[in-house]
Amino acid sequence: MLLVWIALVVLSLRPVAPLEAGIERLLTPLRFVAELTWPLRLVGGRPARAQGDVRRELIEEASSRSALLALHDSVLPTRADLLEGRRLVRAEVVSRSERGRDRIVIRPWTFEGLEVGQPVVARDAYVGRVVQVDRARGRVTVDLVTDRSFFVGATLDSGARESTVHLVVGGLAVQSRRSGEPATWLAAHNPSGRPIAGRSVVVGELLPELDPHSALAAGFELGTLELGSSDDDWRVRPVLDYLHGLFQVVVLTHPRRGQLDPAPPLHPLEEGRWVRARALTAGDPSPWRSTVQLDRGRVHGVRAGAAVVAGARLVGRVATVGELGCEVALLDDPGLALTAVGRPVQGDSTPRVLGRLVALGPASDGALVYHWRDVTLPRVGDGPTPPPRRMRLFTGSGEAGLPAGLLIGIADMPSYSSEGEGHTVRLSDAASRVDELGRLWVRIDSGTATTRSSP
Amino acid sequence: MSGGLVGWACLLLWSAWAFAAQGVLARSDLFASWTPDVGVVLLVGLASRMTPERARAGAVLLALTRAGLSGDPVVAVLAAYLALVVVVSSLRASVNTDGTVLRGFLSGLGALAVVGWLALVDLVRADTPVGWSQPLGEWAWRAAFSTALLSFVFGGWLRRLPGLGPLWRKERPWGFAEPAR
Repeated sequence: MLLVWIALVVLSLRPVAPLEAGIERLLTPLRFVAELTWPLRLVGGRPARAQGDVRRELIEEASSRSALLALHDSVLPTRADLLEGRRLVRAEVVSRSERGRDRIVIRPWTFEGLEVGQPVVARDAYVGRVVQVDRARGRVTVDLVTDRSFFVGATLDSGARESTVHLVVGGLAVQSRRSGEPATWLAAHNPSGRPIAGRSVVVGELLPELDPHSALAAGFELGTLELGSSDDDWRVRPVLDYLHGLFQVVVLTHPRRGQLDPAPPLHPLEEGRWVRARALTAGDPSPWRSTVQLDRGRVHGVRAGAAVVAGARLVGRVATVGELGCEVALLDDPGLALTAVGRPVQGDSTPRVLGRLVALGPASDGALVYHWRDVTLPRVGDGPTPPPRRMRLFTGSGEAGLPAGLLIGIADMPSYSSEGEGHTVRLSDAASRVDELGRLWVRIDSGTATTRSSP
Repeated sequence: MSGGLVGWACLLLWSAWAFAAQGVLARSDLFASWTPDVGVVLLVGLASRMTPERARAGAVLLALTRAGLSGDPVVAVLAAYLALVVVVSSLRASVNTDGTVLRGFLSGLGALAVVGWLALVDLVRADTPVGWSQPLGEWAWRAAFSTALLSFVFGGWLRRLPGLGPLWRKERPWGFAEPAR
């Protein structure tokens, strides 16, 4: 008995994934326990949808579509010289590769003209290189410049009076901080002369004739050169969050005659990859948790991490899946992680990649509290702290089961760097109460697609 | 497992409803952080009159029921409930755990331990980069207070819910709990 109890304690604190999955399958019948609670669902049943609800859902869906279109456009290069002589194939980041964090899997809008070796960029920043084109599965694999075996030729924007300095950039330089996350840079190697810190580093291969695609990447930004702890320790402060900030990218190809611009992909809500679900519980018996049980499971195509929506509004993500049911972590469940973009509510509404948000649970006043890591946001001057900017948050992509463009809520996002500590932000206008929402839909595997009716 | 299949089925049904009601309470604006642990009240009440073996079976049943409605890992709930019944069964050999006041006190203490443990497990598993928005201790002591209150007022009544009698009525009360063999 004591041994069993010790084993339970150890497994509680140090879960073993295969064992947990086995227990989950073994306890599949527990899903019927939730079914037993139907009388309580009747008591707390939601009244029929009001006209205002329908109008709100339509507005939210329009907002989601507009945000996604803006996100697609925001990834295009802004400088005229970076558009010249290039064809731009936009793509959505689908997930990280199983091989590691330095490799992403993308879904391009078209496969026409795509080849291995072509550069991948996001806005004016260099991202990496195509290493595999899988037309059968509709996926392209990209190696990021952060990979330790990745090298790209670069030049220093050195101004008119000095000669150009060539160097090689690739891999990461990491330095721990007093607290918070470690600071990361792109590693810089073999400078041809004495570089000047603070200058902009752009892609520029010394021998472009050796690679037919290298000229396409010329001029795209890698970041700002900085000097590390020693005289030879050069590194580049990146302009992108390569870990959590890659949602949409562009593959650069050679333009050919007769090539048409591809149509944008369907909005995630129109993809037919949703299944209607019913909440079997109103809440979690543990008040610090925020989960509900749904009546859809693995046999219906539901997978862990899948998005759960009501209209265009994100309700939560599937935490664990049984054969016949699943448990959904709602937006205020501690530990729920989301990738997000923010669209300013006022002024310039160009979407800004925010990266990763992690729920810290509800505050005592009921507000949803999130931790926001901001590794690449530069400090804005040394003056007084700039005011936060109110943004409407939407999901980014790059994680399996969580499509881009779903409405999360509104938050006042800080406009200064936390220097690795991360910011605490409060989310308002977010869906945290399932009993107040309309129909629930769960994202399913593409192999088991069913049609989703309109909200 | 004597005591009647009907008794165990009734315990399953009542505990499912109790945990579901606890879930509704936990989502309410008014009671959220003061939600009592009904499972602890039921367990302490039953374990005060059941044999240790049957109390452990009850703990397993309640843990599985709760796991079916909760995001808490089943292994953690099992560990918590089994430890609770072992403690109550051990105490029962020397004191009358069936008295209203002691049962309420034990329920409160049990809730403090169970809620603290489950919240700790969730904190470790959630792997948030910084602490939660509300400290663990706050959840635990509030749950302990409300659970003790629930046990004090309704503890005996919960054990007498329809169908649960066969699970504990045959047991001897305190003083005869550990007969010499």
